[in-house]
Amino acid sequence: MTIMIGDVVCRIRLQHDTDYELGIELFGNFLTDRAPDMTIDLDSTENVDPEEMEPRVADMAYSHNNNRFWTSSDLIAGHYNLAERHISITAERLLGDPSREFNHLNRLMTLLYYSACRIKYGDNPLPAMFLHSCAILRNEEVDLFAGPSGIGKTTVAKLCRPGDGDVINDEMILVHRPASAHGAVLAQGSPIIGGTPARSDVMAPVGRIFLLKQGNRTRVQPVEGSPAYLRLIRQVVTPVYIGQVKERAIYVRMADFSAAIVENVPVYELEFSLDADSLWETVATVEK
Amino acid sequence: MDYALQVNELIWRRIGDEVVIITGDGLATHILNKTAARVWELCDGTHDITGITETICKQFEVSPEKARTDVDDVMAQLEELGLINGPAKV
Repeated sequence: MTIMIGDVVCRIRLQHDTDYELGIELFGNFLTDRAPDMTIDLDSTENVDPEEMEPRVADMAYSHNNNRFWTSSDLIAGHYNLAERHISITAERLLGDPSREFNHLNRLMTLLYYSACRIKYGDNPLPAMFLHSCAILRNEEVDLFAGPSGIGKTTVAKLCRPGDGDVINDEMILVHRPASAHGAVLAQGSPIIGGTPARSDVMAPVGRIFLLKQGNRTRVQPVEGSPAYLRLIRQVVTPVYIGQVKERAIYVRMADFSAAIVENVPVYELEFSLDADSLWETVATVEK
Repeated sequence: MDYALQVNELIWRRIGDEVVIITGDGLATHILNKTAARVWELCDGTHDITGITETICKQFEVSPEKARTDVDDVMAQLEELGLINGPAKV
């Protein structure tokens, strides 16, 4: 199974037919026949009883030594060689259950993306990063509704009725930094699993970013300058590639990326209630 | 001459009139207002306090005395927060 994540191509070799069928079901929109930037051998095990999973996951801690990695609960282990563009992972199959509240497949996808970018771009700025946001295509532009888990991204997606827009993804979106100063910022769908089935491979200009805030009413207000930059940077999925050890380099990338985005995209704080009409009427007031 | 230098592992960006600083471990952030942001930028190891004061005086159109007070206050705070080293006497 070879998939595109942004503009990198990952060939994922699955050992079991059931895993392959699940992969096609989940990531079918992102299949490609392009040459891979990286190959991943992914094997699954069934050594843990379902009732033992949660305590083991809660205690899970990653360890890393040379080119090998593993977790404390024996749930994941593997090795990698980025020079040979290869990663090998063995993981408990239950970790990849799409219905899990914390989806390890999403962690795998972001890791694969950033690792493949490391191979393809080296130390150069990443062309795109993952942002925790719901992305909705409205009037040929993408509105991003950003925030951490539990803030309401999936709720916004579920409040999107036919005619309100098209949900691209309700969990994470790839955001492309502008190619030049004051250039367009683009959003691109990705094989990330959210609370809705929406996972489309669509790319369109970002019109605006809404930082979600829970509340009892619906209102929107602009957020500018430093507050916009800091609140946005917290929604960037940490751009860590496999084996990365330089912590500061990670934050430099996030800082550059967030600065480029807030310079080119208007940012708002959106507080909203569970009323679809007031939500989309309020959003429309800043879309003009 | 008195020089001050930004602490090396900090990550900072100018956002509009302000400077936002993130510590190298990503755990703390600081927002510097217009004046503090300019003082910070001049703490590059090549501007002494006299030069920083002159720049602030011209850029913000304040008296030399006011500029010096503001620069001293800002640099004391930046040093207390661990964001600059110095001023080191050369």
